[in-house]
Amino acid sequence: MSTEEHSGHTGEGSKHLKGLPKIQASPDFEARLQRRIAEEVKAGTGSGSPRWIPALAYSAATVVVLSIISYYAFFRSGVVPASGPIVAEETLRNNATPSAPASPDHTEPLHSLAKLEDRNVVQDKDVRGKKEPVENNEPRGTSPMAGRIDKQQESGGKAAAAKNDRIKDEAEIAGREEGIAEVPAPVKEGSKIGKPANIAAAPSTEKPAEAAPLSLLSVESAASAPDSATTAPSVAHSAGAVPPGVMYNSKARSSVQSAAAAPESTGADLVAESESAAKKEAEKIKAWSALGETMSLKTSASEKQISIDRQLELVTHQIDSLAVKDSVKLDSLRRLQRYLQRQKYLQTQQQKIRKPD
Amino acid sequence: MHSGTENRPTAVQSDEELIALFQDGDEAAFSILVGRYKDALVNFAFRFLGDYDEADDVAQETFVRVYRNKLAYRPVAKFSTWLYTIASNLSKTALRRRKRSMFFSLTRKTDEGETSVDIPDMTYAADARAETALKQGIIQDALNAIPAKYREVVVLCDVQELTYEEICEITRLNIGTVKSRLNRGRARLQELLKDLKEDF
Repeated sequence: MSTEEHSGHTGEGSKHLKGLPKIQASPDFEARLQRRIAEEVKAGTGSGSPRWIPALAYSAATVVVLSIISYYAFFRSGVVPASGPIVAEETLRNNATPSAPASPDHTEPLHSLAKLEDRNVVQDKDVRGKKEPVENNEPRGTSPMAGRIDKQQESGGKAAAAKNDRIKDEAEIAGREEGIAEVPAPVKEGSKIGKPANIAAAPSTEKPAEAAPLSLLSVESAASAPDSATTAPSVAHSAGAVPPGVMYNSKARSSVQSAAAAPESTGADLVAESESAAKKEAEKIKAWSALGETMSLKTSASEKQISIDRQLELVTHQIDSLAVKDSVKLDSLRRLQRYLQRQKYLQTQQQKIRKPD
Repeated sequence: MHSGTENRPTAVQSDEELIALFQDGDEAAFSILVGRYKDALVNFAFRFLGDYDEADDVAQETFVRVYRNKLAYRPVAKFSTWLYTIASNLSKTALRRRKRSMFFSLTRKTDEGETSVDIPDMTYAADARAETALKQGIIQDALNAIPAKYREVVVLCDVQELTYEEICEITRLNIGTVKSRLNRGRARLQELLKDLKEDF
C-alpha cells in the first residue's frame, strides 16, 4: 500500500467519522446530575478530597500501648531480683501458707503445727540457695551477715503477722461458737532465745509460767488461760478423739467426759452420742489448730524483735571498736546499723498497732 | 478578571471564567458549564464506548468529579481539556470494567490480540434509525472494533475535532505518538469500512 493510497484511505475514514451525527444528552441529564450532586452533598462527601485517616499514627499508638501492656503483664511480673527483701517476701509468703495437708477428719494435731517454724527455716535455706546454712538452734545475730538472714525473716514476720491477725480472728470466732477457751501456746522447756518453740515436744500446758518469759505472747496467753483447762487433754485422749497438746474449757470437757465416762450405757443411742461428741471435738480441734498456728507465729515475731535488738547491739559495738582506717567495713556496718534501726522501729510500730487487739 | 458580571455568570463568559466563579462557590457557573459540555461529553463517551447508557453514566460521573474536585483545576490548561481528560479516564475505566464483567463475548483475532465485539446496542439502533441507521451502525461497529488506544485518539480528533495539542494534553502523550496512533487507527477503521462506500 502506497503512501498516497494510505492517506486517501485514512482521509476517507476520517470523513466517515465526521459525518456521524452528534449524540445528544438525554433531556433529564441535568436534573439527574443535580439530584446526584445533592445526594453527595447530603452524604457529606461532596466537598473536598476523601477524608484523611492517620493510619500510621494509629498503628504506632497501638504498638506502643500493646508494648506497655505486655511489659507489665509478662516481663515485669516475671522478674525476681537475685537478692533483697523481695526474695524474702516470696519465701515467707510460701512459708506463711501451711503446705501440710490436713488429715481426713481435719484433726490436725498441734505438734504438726509446731513444726511450721522449723519448716520455714528449712525453706529459707532452700530459697537462699547456696548460702551458708544456719543452724536451727544457733542464736542469731552473732555476725553482721546474720542481719541479712534476719531481714528476710523480718519481712516474713510482716507477712505472717497479717495472716496471724486473720487466723486469730477466725479462731476467736470459732472459740466463741464452740466453747474453746484461749490457751497459751505450749513452749518447749529450755528453748533458746530466737529459736521457735517446739509445741509438739511440750506436754500441753505444763509449766506455762516457766516458758512464758521466752515469749511475750506466751506470757499474755498464759495469763488468760483457765486453770481448769490443764486436765482436759488426758480425758480427751482417753476418749481417743483428741490428739495430745489440746485443751478444753469446762463446757467442752464435760461433753467429752460424758462421752468417755459412760461405759455402762449400752445400745445404739450411746454409740451415736459418742460419735457426735467425737465429731464436735474434731471441729474444736480444727479451730484450736488455727489458734495454735497463730500463737506459734506470734512467738516467732517477738523472738525476732529480740534478735534485732541483739544484732543492733553487736553492730554498734563493732562500729565503736573498729579502726577508723577500715572505712569500707565501717560504711557497711553503719548501713547495717541503720537498717536494723529501721527494722526495730517498724517492729515497734507494728506491735503498737497490734496492741489494741 | 470577571469584568462587570462578577457575581452573575453568563453564557458569554469563557470556560475558565466560569470555573473560577464555581471555585468561588457559584453553583450557577457550574450549571452553565454542564449545559455547555454535556452533549459533547456524551457524544465522546458514546463513540468511545459504543453504548449510550454507559456514555451517559460517564458524562454524569465526569461532572460529579468536576463538582467534587473543583479546586483541583488550575488555569494552566483549558477547562475543556481537563474535562475531556476526566471523561477519557472514566471511559477507559468503564471499558476495563465491561471486559471484566462480560459474561459472554464474541472474540475475533486481530494483530494485537483478541478484540471483543459487543452485542449491538438497541438504544443506539433506535437513535440511528432516524439517521441512516445501518450506515452509522456499521461505522460505530468499526470504531468499536479497533483497539481502544487508537479509538481514543481517533474519536478525540475526528469526532470531537480537538487539536493535536489538546489531544496531547488529554491523553498525556507526545504529539508524535498521537499522530502515529491517529494514523493507525484511521487505517484500521478504513480497512473495516472499505465496503461501506460500495454498499451506500
